[in-house]
Amino acid sequence: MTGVTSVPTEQDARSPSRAGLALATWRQHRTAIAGLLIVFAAVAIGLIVTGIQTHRAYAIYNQHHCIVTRLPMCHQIVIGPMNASSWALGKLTGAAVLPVLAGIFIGAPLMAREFETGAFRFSLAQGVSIRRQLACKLLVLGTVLAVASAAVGALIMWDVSPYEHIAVGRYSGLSYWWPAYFNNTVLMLPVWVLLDFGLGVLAGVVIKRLLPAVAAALVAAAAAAAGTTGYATSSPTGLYSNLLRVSAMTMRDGPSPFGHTTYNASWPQAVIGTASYPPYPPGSVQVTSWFAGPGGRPLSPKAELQLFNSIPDSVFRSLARTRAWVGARHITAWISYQPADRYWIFQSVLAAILLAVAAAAGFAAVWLAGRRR
Amino acid sequence: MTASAPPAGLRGEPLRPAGEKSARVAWRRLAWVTWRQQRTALAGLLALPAVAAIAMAAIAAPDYGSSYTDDPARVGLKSAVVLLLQLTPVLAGLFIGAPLIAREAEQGTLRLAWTQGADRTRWLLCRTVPVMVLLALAAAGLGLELRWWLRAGGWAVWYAGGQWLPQFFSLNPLPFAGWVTLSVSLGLLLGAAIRRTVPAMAAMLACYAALLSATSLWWRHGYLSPLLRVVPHATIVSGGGYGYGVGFSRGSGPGPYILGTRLGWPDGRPLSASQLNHTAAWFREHHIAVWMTYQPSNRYSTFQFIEFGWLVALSALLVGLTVVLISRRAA
Repeated sequence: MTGVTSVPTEQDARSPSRAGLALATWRQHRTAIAGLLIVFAAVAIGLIVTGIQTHRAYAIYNQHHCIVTRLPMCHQIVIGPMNASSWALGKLTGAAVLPVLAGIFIGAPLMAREFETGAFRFSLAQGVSIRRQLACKLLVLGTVLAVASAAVGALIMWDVSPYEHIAVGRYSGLSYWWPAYFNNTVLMLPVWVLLDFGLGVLAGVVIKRLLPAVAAALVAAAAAAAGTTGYATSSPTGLYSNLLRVSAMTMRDGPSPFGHTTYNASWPQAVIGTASYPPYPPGSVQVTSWFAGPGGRPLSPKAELQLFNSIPDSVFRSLARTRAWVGARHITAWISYQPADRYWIFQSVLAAILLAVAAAAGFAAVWLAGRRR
Repeated sequence: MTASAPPAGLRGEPLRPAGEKSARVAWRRLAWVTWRQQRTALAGLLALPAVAAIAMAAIAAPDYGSSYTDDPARVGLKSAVVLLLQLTPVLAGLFIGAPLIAREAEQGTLRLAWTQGADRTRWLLCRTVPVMVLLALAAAGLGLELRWWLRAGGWAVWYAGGQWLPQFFSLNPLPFAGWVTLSVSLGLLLGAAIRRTVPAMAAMLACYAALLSATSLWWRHGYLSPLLRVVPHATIVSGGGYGYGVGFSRGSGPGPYILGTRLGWPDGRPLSASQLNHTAAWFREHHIAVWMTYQPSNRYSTFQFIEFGWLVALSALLVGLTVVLISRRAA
């Protein structure tokens, strides 16, 4: 009796095609992808339902020329059907959770579970390197995530667009420069999703245990959001805030020595409540403000406080006299701002920076995965 | 030689080595095993509120002014502390509750755990109850510290009706402890039902978010029927617009929680949409007033007890369901 052993042919030894790898990725992760798409679809449906209501209310708002007039009923529309103060922020906050979900439920378990259960050894015997497998997974899942989140970002922009117009009309105070909105546009939301996804995958490859990797992905996503852009906090030292300072334009903040701003802790009580609109073009965002002394030199916060503390009590009681007293000392208010037409430039710059970080995290994960045994 | 007695196992008694008093594992030893198994997760989880607690103690200086006068970094820090505390129940459910059974089932170690001499009910109770009690106590302590911190910090939102806001109400000691308990028990049940870690975590997150949203937006308002009263010193203008600026707070402690305002007749009946289009003189002539529905401030503590009560009852129900589930399923 002769045993016949089949010799591997050239075709058998050939590594699987990209299409085959993509199919394997789909088969392996279809439940996770379906689950995530359900979440994205639920968010999209919510945005469409509330968006239709918002747009209807905005049509009524337009009928009454509310953007250029300030009738009492305009305010009622804003706080009533449009519910500007809560709905807009609620939607934006809800959308901001999507990148985190992608990071902890898709990114972190991607390799951590394989390492933890030992399944990666099996995948090593499939005729294709683990680096190539991971690269294919990143490509397929990243594309699905990017497309889905771009669709949600586009819906958010449509949904919130009436508030933008109101903000340009300076009625509700909402602005599309807000970090909460700025980071959820059709461009920025996919970038955030890819960044958190990439950080999650890297955490999984480094830690190789599921729960610690998920926790690390959560911390990384929070740190990236809060520390990098001032996304979750109003930190003035974040990347977003610092980017806005680049080439900001400067102008005198109106004829009043106090400028347009209504409240500052160090200001006299007499000027509180003198609300007025900022002098920069509609749609711009104010970056900084300061007081300048007689030579145009900016006052330090200490000098500013000393100046206001030296205003006599008798002057304090009258806004006109306070203005005259401060004006006589050649104190002027200044602001720097970014005009509206630079909005998409800033979007592109921030997106490029974050996308580079996401790509670096992905490459690091692929490289490290090949080294791990 | 004839055997006079059947072997121990055939008599329904557990097989055990001679000389051992009982095969039942002591509660204390089970608790010790629980601690050994979960110490890392617990330490990691408790580190977050610990950071929040230290941050609160460090930045609540007596001369700390209102939030409006704070610099942005400090306001951001305050928001981060509150956010961290709000995330604590979610993280407890995600990292303690959901993986407790799901992970063992996924890795196959459940078979080992259930053949160690402790029945499944004791095993489960011993693994969950101490953890839940510990987390609930930590949450209650943090809730107390947060209350002190917000008062000491002079946060304006903490006065008047601010304490009723969803983001603060659920951080009071009793509701906070209740939500932590609920999230762990919810994760536990879903982990036992799904038996896969990541899907169980995702399901827990979805269920918890849905329950918290529904409670904050709708159910909490109706624990007791809201009261109705006329808003004094309100100004009504033509077209149905109105304004009022009278505070109802006593200056300290929670103010009333205003659920809504509307124009109405002197007997409280609301005006129809067409009647809102009248002039200010018409409103004066017919003694139209601004009515508000509200929860009075003296119900604040009652609401906390109500919320704590149903949360703990629901948690007990979920743990009970988990016991039933794991008792009926094969390892």
